[in-house]
Amino acid sequence: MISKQAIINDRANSPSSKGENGILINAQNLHRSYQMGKVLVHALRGVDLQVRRGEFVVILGVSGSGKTTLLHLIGALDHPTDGQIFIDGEDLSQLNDSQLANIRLQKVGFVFQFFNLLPQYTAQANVEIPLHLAELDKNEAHQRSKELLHIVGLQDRVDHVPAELSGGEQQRVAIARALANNPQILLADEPTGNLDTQTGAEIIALLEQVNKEQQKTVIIVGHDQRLTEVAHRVIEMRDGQFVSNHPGGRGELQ
Amino acid sequence: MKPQRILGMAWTNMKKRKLRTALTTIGIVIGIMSLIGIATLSTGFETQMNTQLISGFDTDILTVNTGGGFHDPGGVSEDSGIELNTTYADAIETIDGIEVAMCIARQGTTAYNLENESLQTTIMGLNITKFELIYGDQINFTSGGWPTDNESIIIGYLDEPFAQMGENISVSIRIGVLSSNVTFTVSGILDEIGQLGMTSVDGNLLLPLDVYQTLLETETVDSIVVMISDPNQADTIADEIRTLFDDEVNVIVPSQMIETMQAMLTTQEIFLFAIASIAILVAGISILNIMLVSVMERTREIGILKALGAKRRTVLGQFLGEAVLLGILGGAFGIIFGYGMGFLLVQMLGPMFSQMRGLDATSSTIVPVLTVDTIIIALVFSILVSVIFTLYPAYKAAKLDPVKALRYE
Repeated sequence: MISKQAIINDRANSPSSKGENGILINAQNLHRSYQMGKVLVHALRGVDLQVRRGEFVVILGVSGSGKTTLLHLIGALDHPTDGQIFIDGEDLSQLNDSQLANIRLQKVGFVFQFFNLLPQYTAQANVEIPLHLAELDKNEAHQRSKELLHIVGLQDRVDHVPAELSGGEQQRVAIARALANNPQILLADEPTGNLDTQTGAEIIALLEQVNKEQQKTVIIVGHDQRLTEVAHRVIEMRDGQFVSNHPGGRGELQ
Repeated sequence: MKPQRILGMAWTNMKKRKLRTALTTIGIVIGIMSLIGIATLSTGFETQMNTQLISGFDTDILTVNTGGGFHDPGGVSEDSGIELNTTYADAIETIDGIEVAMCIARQGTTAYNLENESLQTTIMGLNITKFELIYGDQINFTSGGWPTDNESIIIGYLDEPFAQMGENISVSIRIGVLSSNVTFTVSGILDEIGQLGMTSVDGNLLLPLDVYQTLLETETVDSIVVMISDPNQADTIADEIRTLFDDEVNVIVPSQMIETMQAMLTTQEIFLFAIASIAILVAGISILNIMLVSVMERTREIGILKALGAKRRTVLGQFLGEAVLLGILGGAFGIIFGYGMGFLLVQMLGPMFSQMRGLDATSSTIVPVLTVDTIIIALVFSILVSVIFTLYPAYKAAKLDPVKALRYE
């Protein structure tokens, strides 16, 4: 039997001394604008965000409110036009491309609305991609990917390619892949946006489980109101700014 | 990512797009195939030429004639009109460093055996003493020996099915415009000698020079075979012979002839390799084209990989890994098919090439030769072309902005 505890006790999960007061993510006065044709779009207009270790934060907003842009900045996929962002005390604006890639590899895991699995690979091979990127030994990667698929309840689907899996199953694979290198942060961009109500609820439950059992810091953006019930904190965004920031259904993280 | 994983992923990608991989590979296969086909043919020719020329053309044997046949860069290109005879041979023998100068006279003829079967051949007259001096250890009789009277004749081993030892043959002799038949008894059959200077005696009829000259009522000979004591002196002695006869004779130096032929071969090779290179260039451009399309199609996939933590060099490695595999695949098939093409080329072009080079096309079979060097060069070349033309698409993929790539539909 595969022990979940073994994975939890894995590397990189111990609290880092670099974070202050349990704050894992610290964004200050974030601005992000980009050129779209002849128009300059201000996707973020000065956002301050502190997220504590183990916190489950849901950011709600209509499309175009800047929530995905914020998620990309936290996930080291994009550079802010202005402002600073610290992950685990590390200033992302000071890092080069290769170092940012390392942050994405080791500290964050992404889950997308459209799953974004690679269609040519089996569920297990998809989960193994980040493990191979981290240069894990082949057998080690094999073992770990199996454990991860077990955690998300897909132990019987390891050899199926994405086309043979349902939407919910694909999203489970994506979550397993996001957790592969045992990151501290799990970022999800409308993870239920492409799923039916029942399946969406199951994915939300899985994300909550990951947060509770593995102490992952989870940030989800979307507009599924059910997300607020499992969140410690709910932030609402409009036009690139926070318009409200209040405790979620689980109450603030103690 | 570890190199073997990068190659593994590249291989999965190639397997997923089988048709495209096959089409891309075909380009390289054709290029490498032509390269290998030509290379095996060239090497085959060279091998054959070297064995034939170097063994047959003893480097201490010069041939003097009056033009026609092989072009002698230092001599006359057209028939000079002078007629060689034994006095020329005597004069040549006075030059220092020359051991023997032997006259050879010949005439194309038709011979008839007891069953009245005909044979197109050549009747040759040569000085037997000098012949033995020059080719001594190469001359062996399968039966009989040199003629002792003017009614006996020697035949080469190739003529053995036509006439046996002791049988009579009738040989057509032409004097001026008149032809007459003379009957000889076969008194000896020569074993295989192969190429002797510019000639071969294996299928010919041989007579002592004096018998030949009396019979044909002529003093003229066709060429003079000269044996020198030091092969290194060949060029100097050739010049001396030419000077002796006011540059009115050809002197064929074997080493020069081999050089001339090799230069000819090299020219042809360069031309053929240029054609093969164009084929490979076209293959390279098709790789460039397909890889650029591939990068565009896989933009989203590249975005995903980058979101998962792939570095630029990992993405670069993915595409270059595919290029290496394509190069190996195309190179391997190209080598196999190219070797096959070598045999086809030999069938088609062999006789023509042989004739161009003045070699006997029928008696020599050219075999395409595939050397380890050729295989290595072809593989390296194939991989190199594939990788070079993938550099730009791979670079484009590597520097894709992950956010834009993830949004790409």
